[in-house]
Amino acid sequence: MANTKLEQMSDSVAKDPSMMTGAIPKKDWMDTPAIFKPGNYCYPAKQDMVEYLDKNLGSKGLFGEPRQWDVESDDWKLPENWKDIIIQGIKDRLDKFRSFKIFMDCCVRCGACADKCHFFLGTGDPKNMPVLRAELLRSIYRNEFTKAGKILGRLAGAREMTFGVLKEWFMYFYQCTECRRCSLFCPYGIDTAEITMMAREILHLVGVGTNWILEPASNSNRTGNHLGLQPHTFKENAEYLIDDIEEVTGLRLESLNFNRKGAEVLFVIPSADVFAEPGIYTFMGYLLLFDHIGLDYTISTYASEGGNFGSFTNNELMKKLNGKMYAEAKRLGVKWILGGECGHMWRVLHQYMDTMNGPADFLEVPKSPITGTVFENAASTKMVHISEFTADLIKHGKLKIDKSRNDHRVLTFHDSCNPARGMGLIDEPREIIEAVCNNFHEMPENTIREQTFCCGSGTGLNTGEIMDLRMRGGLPRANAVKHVHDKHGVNMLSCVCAIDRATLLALMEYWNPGVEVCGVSELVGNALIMDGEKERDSGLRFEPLAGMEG
Amino acid sequence: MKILPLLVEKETAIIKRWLKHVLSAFPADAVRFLEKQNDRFANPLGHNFSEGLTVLYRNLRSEEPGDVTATLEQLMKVRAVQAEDTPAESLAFIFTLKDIIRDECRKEWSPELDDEWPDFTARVDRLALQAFDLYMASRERLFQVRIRELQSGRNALTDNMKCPSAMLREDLANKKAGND
Repeated sequence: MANTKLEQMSDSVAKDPSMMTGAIPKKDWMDTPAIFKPGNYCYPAKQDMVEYLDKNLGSKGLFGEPRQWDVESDDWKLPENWKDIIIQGIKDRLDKFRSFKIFMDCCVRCGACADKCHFFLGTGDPKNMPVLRAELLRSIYRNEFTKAGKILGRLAGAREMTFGVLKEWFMYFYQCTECRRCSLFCPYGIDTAEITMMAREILHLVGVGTNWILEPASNSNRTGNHLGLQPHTFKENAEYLIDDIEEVTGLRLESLNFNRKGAEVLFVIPSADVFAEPGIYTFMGYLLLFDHIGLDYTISTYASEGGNFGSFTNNELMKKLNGKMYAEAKRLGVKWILGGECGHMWRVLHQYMDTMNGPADFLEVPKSPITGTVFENAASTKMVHISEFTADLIKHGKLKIDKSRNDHRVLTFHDSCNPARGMGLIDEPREIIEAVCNNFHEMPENTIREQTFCCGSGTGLNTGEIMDLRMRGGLPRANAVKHVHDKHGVNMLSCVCAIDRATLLALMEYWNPGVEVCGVSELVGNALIMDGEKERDSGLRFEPLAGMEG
Repeated sequence: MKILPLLVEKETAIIKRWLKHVLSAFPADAVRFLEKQNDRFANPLGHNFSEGLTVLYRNLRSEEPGDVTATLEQLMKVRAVQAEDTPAESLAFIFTLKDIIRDECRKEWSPELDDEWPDFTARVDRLALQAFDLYMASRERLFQVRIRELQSGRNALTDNMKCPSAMLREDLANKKAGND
């Protein structure tokens, strides 16, 4: 009766190695090899990128030996002593970072984090359980640095460093977006993101890194931004948007300026906001806001990138790329810094900047020149988030707003991981949205605020060669958006992160066609009633406003 | 007993087994979670499968089958990015339903049902054909997403690309080389 062939086919689905992850279900995780196939790994860093970065960071070998190598090959052209480099790399970091040592020791494998990772939820691969992902590194730590591991070996969860382990690290520490959702549920407060950061640092020591991270990082080191835009190009791109604003509002904004010494505020944005949709509309929103309140600001063409791809490599490059913000603030003589809608910029800024490049005692504690509010929370870093700044303006009734100009949007809000979990920016964007829009619907409780699901493409994973993987990692987020799309007709997913603005769009195009993506400041720009403007019939992206479709 | 009423009677057991079969493709450690976590937002994969298979099955055993395109499309979207599976493996679960039904109904099976069986399996086959179209459409959509990302300039964020000034320099160098 039963069709034998079909039974066999079903059986093979269950038992054959997984193409995506190499996972063979019935075996212990330590015996399950990582197998690389096109589509499940990021392209390796180009030789000249590694050479450039090595040279510019003092030739300390932080990026390994520059070379061409093939991820699918069994010869990664590693240095002969690569294992020694790895073990020494772990040792150095255990000595230097107390948090790393604690995170290696204190996990009791309770499993609270296991089902919290969007990559686990989207792939079903146990090695994407944060506890198991950390075990990939912890097992080597035990083997080399703990008595139990040295004596009992595998019984104590220890194992030797092998090429197979290295492959596993490259696969799974690049299937973690450092979003820290798992950390939220850890009773010990283990920050798995920092474990991934350490693992990536160590991988770079033997020259195992991805090009999509190292090339933007090199560009940022050279010209200040990911694309390597030179000052005149950056300025021209931004100025094009003044033309667009004029077409929508009838106003020619005169306030946009660059590198102006003596301005009160330095404004730092993710560079994507001046060249890529839909970030450019967010940028137009910033400019309208600044003009509306008459803010004395300037933009640096060197601190022209809030994003810090160095933070996906090692702490030294992270520090160097971050340093330009204070350096430019000092050079221009501003009083404080305002930051745009960026993701990991805020993580670096909130958690590391003060230690790495502070104290910025040449700056003043930020004080809104419009409302007089002193941002005590930024007393040390001297840098305020645009959403905090805008929410404060709204609270004090300083903005003239026509909410109906966003009536063609039915909104929901995606808490971008780094601002939400990395710095606690949760209520301000909502206050803004409530003030400038009439149609706003939250996604389910366990998918927003502190518990927000990642876009699935952060930390250098938003490259095209792993689109399948991005769609899987983003499934939990897309699934929640689908719910409000079906239930309330949500057609716009707002967020406060440039990587989100780029990658959620792809995620929506695949999972939820009909849902667009915008920055919160774009909504502000739409709603602001500017002095002397014409009657607006379209939004900042030239889409007709509600009632103006004809 | 006619086949459709029998399938209504056996619905719970069949759907349960069908779901177990589909989830068995995942590693054992994951299956426990995928089966047990009932919160649809905490377990999107498990939810998509359990809800999807239920809708598909109920439609197959319905006296008046409706349109299940939206449900099937969502399932195929999930399948189309599970890159470890070949297309055949991704769609095999639809055909396996026939085996599961025959096995679950073996005690109640009668010659009368043998007569009805080809008509019922034709329903399953039609579903499989529709699934094939939707699976391919999902793969196509994935490629379109990638192409649009390249065209829109968003790839500047998601891929490395040359900066405009580098391209200008190259253009100038090419022109110069051409003139020389």
